[in-house]
Amino acid sequence: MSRLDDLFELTDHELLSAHCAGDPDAFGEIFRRHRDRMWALALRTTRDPEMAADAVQEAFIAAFRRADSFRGDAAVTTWLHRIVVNSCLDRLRRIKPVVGLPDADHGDLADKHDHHHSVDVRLDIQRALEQLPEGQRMALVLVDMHGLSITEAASILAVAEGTIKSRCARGRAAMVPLLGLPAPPDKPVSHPPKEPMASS
Amino acid sequence: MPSELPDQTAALPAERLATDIEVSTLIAPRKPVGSSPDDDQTGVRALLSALPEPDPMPAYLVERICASLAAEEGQRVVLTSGASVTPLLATARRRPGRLLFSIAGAAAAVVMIGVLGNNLLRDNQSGGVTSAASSALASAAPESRGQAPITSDDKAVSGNTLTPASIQIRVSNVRYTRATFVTKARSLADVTFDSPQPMAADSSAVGPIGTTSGLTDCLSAIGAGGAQLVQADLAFYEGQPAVIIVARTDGVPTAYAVGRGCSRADASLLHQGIVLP
Repeated sequence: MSRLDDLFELTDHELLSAHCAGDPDAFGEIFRRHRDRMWALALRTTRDPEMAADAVQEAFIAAFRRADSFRGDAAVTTWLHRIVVNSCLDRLRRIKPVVGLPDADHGDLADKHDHHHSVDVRLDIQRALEQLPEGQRMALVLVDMHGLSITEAASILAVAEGTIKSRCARGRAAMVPLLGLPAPPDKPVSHPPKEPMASS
Repeated sequence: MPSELPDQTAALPAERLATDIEVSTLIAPRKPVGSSPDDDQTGVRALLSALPEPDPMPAYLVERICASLAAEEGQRVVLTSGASVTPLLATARRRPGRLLFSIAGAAAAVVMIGVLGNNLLRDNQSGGVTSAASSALASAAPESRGQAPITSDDKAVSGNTLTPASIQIRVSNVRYTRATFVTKARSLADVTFDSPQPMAADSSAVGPIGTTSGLTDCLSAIGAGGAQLVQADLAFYEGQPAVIIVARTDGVPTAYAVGRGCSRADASLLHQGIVLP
C-alpha cells in the first residue's frame, strides 16, 4: 500500500494532526478533499470568481499555517468553512460596505417576475440575495444553499443557533417580495420574528 | 422567540453530517434536507436549494493553490530544520571560519589520546588503552572530518550503561498500522540509514525524542535500555505521530511503537515490544 493510499484512509482530524506533526503530504489531502466545497462556498459568498479564487487560496494558506490552532472540538470542515467565510467577507468589506435592506417592505424586483425562466430566476435570486444584510445572506448561503445544519452555521459564523434561525427566517421573508413570490398564508412575511441582538 | 421558529434544519442530526464529512474521502456538496412545506412556507429555501452546484474548482486554481501550499511546506521545513537545536547530522558544507576550530580540535584530540595513553600505560592497564584510545578517536574523528556523529559512541563510553552503542534516527513519515506493524518494522530493521536527514531535535514537530539523549531516555522507559543497536523512525502509528523503534539486544531485534512524547517518565507506548522474525 502506498503512502498516498495511507493518507486516503485517514480522517480529517488525523490528517490535520499529521500535518501538525510535520507530515508533508497530509494537508494536500485535506485540500483535495475539501477544495470543491470551499470553492462553491467562496463563489456563493463573493459572487465573483476572481475574488472567490483569491479568497479560497488565502483561506487554505491560512489553514495550513494555523492548523495547530485547531482545537478539535468541531469538524475540520466546519473550521475550514469558517476560515473561507472570513476570508471572503474580509475581501467584500474591503471593496465596499455591505448595504442591507430595511426590515420592512423592499421593493422593486417583484414586478419583473411574470416572465422569468430558470436562468432569469437564478439571476434574480442572486440579486435578491445581494440585497440582504450580510448576516441574513450568509445564513441563507450556509443553511439553504450549502446544506449545513443550523449548528454548523452557528459555529462558522460564531453566533448563537437562535440567531441563525432568526436570520434564515428574516432572510427568507425578505426574499419573498424581492422574488415576487406569494406571501405564505399563515405567516405574513412583513412580520418576521425579531432577531436577538446584532443582526449582522 | 427565534428559537421556536419552525425550521427543520435545526433538527438535522449534526453528528451524522459531521460523520459523513469525516468518513468521506471526497467532500461532496450537500443539499439541504427537510425542505417540506412545513419547513419554510415562503418557498425560498426550496428555491435556494434547487440552484445548481457551482462547477468544481478550476484546474488553474487547483494548481495555483497547490503551488502555494508547496511553497508553504518548503518554508516550514526550512524554518523547522533551521530553528533550534543542533542537528544530529551536520551537512557536508562548513563555514571557512570553522576550519581552524576543526584543526585545533583534531590536534587537541591527538594530544589527549597521547596523554591518556601514557597515563594508562603507566598504570599498566594495557587492555584499557586500546579501548579508551579508540573511543576517544571515535569521538574526535568525526569532528576532525567535519561531520557530526550519527551514532552515540561518545555517550557509550561516558559510563551511561543505558546508552546503546549505536543509535540511528530517521524521519520517514511512513504510516504504520497495527496490521502492518511487524512487516514494516522488519523492513525498518533491514534498512541502513546511510543517508539520514538532518533534524531539528527540539522542533515542535519532533521533540526531544529526535535527539540521542531523548531517545535514550525513551529506551529506558520501554525497557530497551540494554540494546546495543537502535533504529528509530519518526513516523506515524495508527494515524498518530509516533516513533517506531527497533532495538537489537544480542542480535535479536525487538520493535516498539511509542508516541513522540516518550520520555523516561512516560513511555507513551503505542505498540508493545514484539520480537521481529
